[in-house]
Amino acid sequence: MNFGGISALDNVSFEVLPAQVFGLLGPNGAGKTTLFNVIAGAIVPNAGRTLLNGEDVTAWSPNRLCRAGIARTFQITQPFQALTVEENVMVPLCGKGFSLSQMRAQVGEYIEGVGLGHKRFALASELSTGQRKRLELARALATRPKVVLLDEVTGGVDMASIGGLLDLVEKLPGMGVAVVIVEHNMSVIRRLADSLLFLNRGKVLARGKPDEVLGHKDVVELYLGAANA
Amino acid sequence: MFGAPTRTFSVNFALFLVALALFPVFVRDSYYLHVGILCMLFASFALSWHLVTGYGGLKTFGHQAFFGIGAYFSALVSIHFGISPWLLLLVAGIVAAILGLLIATPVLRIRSMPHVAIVTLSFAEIIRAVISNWRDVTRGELGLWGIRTFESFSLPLIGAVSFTSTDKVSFYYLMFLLFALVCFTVLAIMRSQYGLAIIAMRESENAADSLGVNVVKYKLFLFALSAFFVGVCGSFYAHYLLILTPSAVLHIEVIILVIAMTLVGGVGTFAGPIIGAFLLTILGEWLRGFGDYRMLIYGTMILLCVMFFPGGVAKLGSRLREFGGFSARVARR
Ligand SMILES: Nc1ncnc2c1ncn2[C@@H]1O[C@H](COP(=O)(O)OP(=O)(O)OP(=O)(O)O)[C@@H](O)[C@H]1O
Ligand SMILES: [Mg+2]
Repeated sequence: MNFGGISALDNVSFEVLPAQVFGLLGPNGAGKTTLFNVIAGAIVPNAGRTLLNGEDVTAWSPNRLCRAGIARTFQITQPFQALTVEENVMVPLCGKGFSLSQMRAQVGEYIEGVGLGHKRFALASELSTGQRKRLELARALATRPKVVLLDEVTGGVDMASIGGLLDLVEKLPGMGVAVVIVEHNMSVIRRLADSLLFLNRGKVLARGKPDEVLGHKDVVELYLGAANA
Repeated sequence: MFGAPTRTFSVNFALFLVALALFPVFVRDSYYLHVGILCMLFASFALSWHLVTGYGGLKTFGHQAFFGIGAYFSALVSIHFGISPWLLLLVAGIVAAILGLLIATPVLRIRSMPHVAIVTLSFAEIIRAVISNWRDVTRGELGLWGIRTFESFSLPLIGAVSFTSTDKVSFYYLMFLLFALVCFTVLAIMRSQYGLAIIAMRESENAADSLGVNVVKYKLFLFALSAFFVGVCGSFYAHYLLILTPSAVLHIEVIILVIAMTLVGGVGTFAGPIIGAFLLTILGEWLRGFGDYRMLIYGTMILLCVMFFPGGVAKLGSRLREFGGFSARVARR
């Protein structure tokens, strides 16, 4: 994937298995969000392919990919501000053959699941940053995805709510969902991820089991080094 | 509040329609009936434009093209082929809808709203230039005459219904039916889950797209339906006034008026475009007595309205807000 002269993603390839949590790491500007945009169809890559269960889904529209089972959250949250939390989460169910009241009944579990039950009838524009992140997750899960791409969903979420959020994410593999997670919080990564990919400037720096990757010399230098210093 | 309308909304809206329906029973003066017809015509136009812009979030400035095409198509076919205006009301709507799909196709690719505005406006200007200059057929600014009016028919209980320039009652009720059709269609869509998807698309196209909303399909649908209604309005206008000029139906002033109506009434609400259309149409007629100062006073009032009631008149009083019903909230951003 190129933006002008910048090569934002160069020869990055990985595979995520159902019921697995795959962690994507890298410093700011490494290309993590760009990779999500390519997979979710928001941008079309100059080269490379996306396969879903063996089918080539490269350059499909985002809504088609969503119907095929790829859901994503946005790092910069994109709530439907004029709609309530409940209505936000109902959007993925539009046109699926449910009545409005059936849709209302179905979204309850997702709203409760991310801990926004008390905000169900509040306008999305009234939510805090952390609550918007949780709304992103609830909406993505309401699409009943096979693969879910989570872009820093714990960012801005207060400590008290992170636990509940992670419990929810942790349950996804058990339901056969493949999770790809971009996360700067190392304890979250250690707790959730089955395997990791470390990106730097659009290139793969390291990949493998969390311990291997987090112990990799270049990774420590580039990423953790700064934090430890 | 997608789903069932609130009681207050239903009651107010029903009272409004009943008042409109009874108006000709008490007022027989053909000038007042004419103003009533124009109010409902512009309210239908504004509601249709608002469907794409206020709800769908696509800032289009070229809807006068659909009005003009509906009017000229209908007039010319009735003159040259003797086809009944009753049939042409429908056909003109379909022709406008097809044109709507044609113009929506390039618009779909444009994410920047100022560009959408310019592209749609240019498209309407092209249509205007063609109709103005194709004098052999349209007679340009000299005006197109000899348009057929609606054939009369007879109804049980009521008797003969005829459409003549001296008796405006039949035109009034025809326009009333068209207006009610537009109102109920817009309400039905916006209260359904399709309305929910449309508002989501307006609020964040990327997010809606990523959540499975087929944004291309919705945009095309909104454009086609909106152009259809405006085309029908244009056709009605042709067979009602029986004279057309490009400056009357295709000038940029037409869309500016419709936009002003929507802004004054309240963007994002159902009642807004209706209230705005009635207010500005009546105001415009009332100001006729002021001659050249008319446009000046008119413009100043619109400006003041937009400056001091940014939400529009529909969000002023609580009763009016109730009338705005479900969508007053949807407009809040
Ligand atoms: N639309 C775009 N046009 C041009 N350059 C872009 C665009 N989107 C991203 N980039 C560039 O691509 C590179 C990768 O950006 P990306 O947002 O994918 O990084 P990231 O790994 O998600 O970083 P962060 O941790 O800050 O979220 C950056 O250099 C960024 O400036
Ligand atoms: Mg990012």
